[in-house]
Amino acid sequence: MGALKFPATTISCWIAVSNRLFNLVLIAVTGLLVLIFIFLIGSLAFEFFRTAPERSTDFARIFFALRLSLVTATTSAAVALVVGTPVAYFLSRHKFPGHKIIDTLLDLPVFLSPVALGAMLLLFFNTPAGRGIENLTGEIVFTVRGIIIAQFFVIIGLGIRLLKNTFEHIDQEYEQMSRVLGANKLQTFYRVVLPLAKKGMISTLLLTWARAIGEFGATMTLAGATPFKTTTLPVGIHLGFQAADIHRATIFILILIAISLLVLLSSRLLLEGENNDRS
Amino acid sequence: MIEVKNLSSRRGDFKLENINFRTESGEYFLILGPNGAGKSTLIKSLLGFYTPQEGEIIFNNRPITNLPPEKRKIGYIPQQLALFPHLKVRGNISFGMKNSSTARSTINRKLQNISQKLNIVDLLDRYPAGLSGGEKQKVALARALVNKPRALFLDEPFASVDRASRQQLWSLLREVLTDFQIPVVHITHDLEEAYALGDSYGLLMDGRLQQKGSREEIFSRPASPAIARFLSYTNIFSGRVQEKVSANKYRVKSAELEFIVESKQKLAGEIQLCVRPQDIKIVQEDKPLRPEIKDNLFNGKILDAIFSPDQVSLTFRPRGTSGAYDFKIKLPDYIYKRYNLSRGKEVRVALWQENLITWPA
Repeated sequence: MGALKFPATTISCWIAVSNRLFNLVLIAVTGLLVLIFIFLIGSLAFEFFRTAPERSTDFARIFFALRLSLVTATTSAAVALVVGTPVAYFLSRHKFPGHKIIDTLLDLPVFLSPVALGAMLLLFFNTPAGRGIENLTGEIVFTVRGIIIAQFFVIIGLGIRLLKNTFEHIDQEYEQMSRVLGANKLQTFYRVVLPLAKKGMISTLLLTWARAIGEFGATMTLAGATPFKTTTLPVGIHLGFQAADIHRATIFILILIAISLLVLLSSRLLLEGENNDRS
Repeated sequence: MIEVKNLSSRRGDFKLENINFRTESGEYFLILGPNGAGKSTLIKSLLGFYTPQEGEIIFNNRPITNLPPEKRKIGYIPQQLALFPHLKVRGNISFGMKNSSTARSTINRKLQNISQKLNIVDLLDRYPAGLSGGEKQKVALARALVNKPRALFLDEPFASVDRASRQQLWSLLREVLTDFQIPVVHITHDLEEAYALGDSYGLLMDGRLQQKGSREEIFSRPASPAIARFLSYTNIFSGRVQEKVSANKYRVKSAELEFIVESKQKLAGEIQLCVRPQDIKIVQEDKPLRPEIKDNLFNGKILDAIFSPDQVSLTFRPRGTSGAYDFKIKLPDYIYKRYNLSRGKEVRVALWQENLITWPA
């Protein structure tokens, strides 16, 4: 049986068509996904306007949730940065027996369901050790402190992972050079490592902050959903739906979307500006 | 003065063994070695990042073996230079002085002095990312020297600079160093760089300093075939000493060729001999032969010629040999043209007698 032979022009034509087809598939999938997102936001806005006339807007509730969310997310992200930085730096610079095990353990919150994490925390604060801590710090379970702790444990794994990645990308030659030039380890850390890690640390702060502000599962389990006490924006959405107040829920969702877009956009602009400074 | 005594250091599978050398103030000690010879392990040990298992490092009669890197006061230029990207040139150069409590006026004075000496005053307010390779080198040199270190260590510092700027930098480096009178230890695998810069030399291979000596001693009398190969002396042949033909001359017979070897030491039995590519001369039939080259004459054919900007590398096959005795010959470009050489041409070559190197097999 003779092999099929195509003229060269047919083959090059086919290659051109297949290249074009490939690009078309990429564009189609991207476009479809963007369209779905726009549709989701659109239907939310539609629902907001549809329900607006029949409901009065409860501004007190909204401001409380917004303020609580901003305060707790900022606090937990800042604490996660402060705690995560030395841990991540240590893990990125030292290899020791058990390194992998510790690394995996610290990654756990990234993969574990937040509800499970919240439940673990709730159980812990029911033990003598947990109650001892509460005696020292004041009440944690079902309080604002509980929200911050829940958010901290949800984001700390992510924070360490991002920071470790940042430190691993800093060439150790710089640290060695700093030592040769007379700086001790601490001086080297704040004169060389921190400035070189600045960009990565800012983006870690923003990403963990964004993750914290949207946190629901662990917060709900540890801090509960007491109105005007532990109602963050995501908890507010949940309560809104439970009370069949769709209008209130849509307001909370719209605020969350606005905050997220604002943070993501400003962080991109900030980091881009940083890049342009040095190149 | 730096003295390294019996230094041994193990890093994973790699071992640095029994390193000994002494470099006086104002001396430029050049350690040559192929990749993987232990050059970086040695320099990191001298800098204080690796604790040696054995041995001592002494600076000006004071042992510093257990001193942390920040207390050693060494100027260092690594291969990638490690200029801090977040600091301007000014910040890079004065970095070390800010760790000690040096007065601001002193810092500025030293900064100005070194920048003028290296001609980089215009660069002080720029970031390293915007500098050329040669400019970065100068900044790294300024940073290493600004605070009068006890010694200067260089680890392949010219790797990322183009050829033309390299030679300028070599001159500048030697010139600046005359003012400092400190011992310099420079580690490299680059033969040209080594040849140009060193006062004295050490050859590091397989974690040991295999040979130490002057430029002449290292490059004309490599201590082993392995060193000769690293110096890219590829014409290495085995043979057996047949007889003594005169006072210091021996007839050596190998499988396909015969050589007359001059040696002050007595030669006997199996030996290896090496002729450097630059020690093989093309002989013109109509000219009388000089006595230094008349003993080893070979007729044969040029198989190949590889051109570089200032010289030509020829592969020459002596008549009647099968390929195991091909000579590599290096000669200046103008000789190639003057003798009208080309691939495939039959020529006669002579070996520069007294430069034949021999080792017992």
